[in-house]
Amino acid sequence: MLVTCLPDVAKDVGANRILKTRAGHFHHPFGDPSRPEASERRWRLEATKKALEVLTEPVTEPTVFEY
Amino acid sequence: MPTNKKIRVVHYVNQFFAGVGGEEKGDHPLTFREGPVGPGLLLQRLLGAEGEVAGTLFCGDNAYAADPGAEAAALDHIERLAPDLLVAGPAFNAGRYGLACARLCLAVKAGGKTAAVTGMYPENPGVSACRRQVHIVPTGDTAGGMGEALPKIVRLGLKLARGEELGPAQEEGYLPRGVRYNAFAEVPAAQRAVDMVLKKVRGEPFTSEFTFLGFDRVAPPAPLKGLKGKKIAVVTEAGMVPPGNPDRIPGSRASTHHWNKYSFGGRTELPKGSFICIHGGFNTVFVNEDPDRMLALDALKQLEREGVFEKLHEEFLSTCGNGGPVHVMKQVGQAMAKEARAAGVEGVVLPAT
Repeated sequence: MLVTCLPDVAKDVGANRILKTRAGHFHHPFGDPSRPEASERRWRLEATKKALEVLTEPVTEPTVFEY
Repeated sequence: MPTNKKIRVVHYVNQFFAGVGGEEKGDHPLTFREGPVGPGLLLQRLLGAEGEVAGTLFCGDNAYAADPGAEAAALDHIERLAPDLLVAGPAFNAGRYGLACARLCLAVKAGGKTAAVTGMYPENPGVSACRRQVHIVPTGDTAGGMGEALPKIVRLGLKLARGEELGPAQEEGYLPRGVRYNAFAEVPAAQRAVDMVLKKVRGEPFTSEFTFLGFDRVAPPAPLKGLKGKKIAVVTEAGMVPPGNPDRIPGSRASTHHWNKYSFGGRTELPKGSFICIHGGFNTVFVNEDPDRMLALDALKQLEREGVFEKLHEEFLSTCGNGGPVHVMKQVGQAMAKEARAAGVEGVVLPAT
């Protein structure tokens, strides 16, 4: 599965399981520097959990999930 | 080469088109016959006085795919026959046949003595195997398209064999190879672009000057049945490398060898300086401050400890996708997939920028 903040590009190139991290950024899909450190870590833990769950999702075509 | 010279042609078909049998004869070894065989009879008729089918090579598709000796034998025959042109197929939408045609055309072209032309359905896997190097006439998906395909193949093949200059792919009737030639235009680019936009908004037909080769569609792999007991790896195209970038992975336009596996070194999080980002296409300050913003090692290690999944692969695989040509990145991806599979990885998290 692919984690990105540019899901349209990922869809165009045919990635099938895509997670868009809303709080992430193009430069760092697993980071949100606007938060204090502890809060950013908690957010990343949840985003990563979601990324792993996406691996278990049945899909038939490029599909975007969000966290 | 003078245009009045009779073009000497060798034709390659599979055993089915040579009349030897169907799928059950897929392991038929490479065989040579003098003169035209099967669709070669039509090929000869279309060539008329301009060319001669000197001989036909045929082989079962499985044999061609599995036995390197088949291709070597085909090349020996071609060397001996010294043709001006190899015509392979057409293979329509037969995948293994298409791949055999692609491989033989590539090998013959690489020899530099003989021109090569083939015909395939645009979605035949043989197309992506050789479209950048070999001229492929698009055909229908079944052998019902033979009568339509062969005249186009003959026309293009004769031009290639005579070394004549070819026009654009659309005009000559072959699949675009992604090659652009310089040409003088009467109207400047800005004006052509505006004309195109106006036609587009008016809903009128227009032809783009840039043909995009497009991307593959890959069938999604089956979902993991739960995460318990699974081995997970991190793969990235974000240009994450050890400090000093020992493999000199470039910040843009990587080549096929510009990727590697890097150990997390037993860490449970990534302090500043543990890995650096050499991506040349964005501001790397935030990820260099905290590499977990890309690789999420802290989160993955915690989830591993909690037993959400079994094991995080101790190495991550990395390249830099910035400006990477699609056909290069495809090879990098395939090599990475092979590596991950060999390491027993069942799921990959791929942070991409």
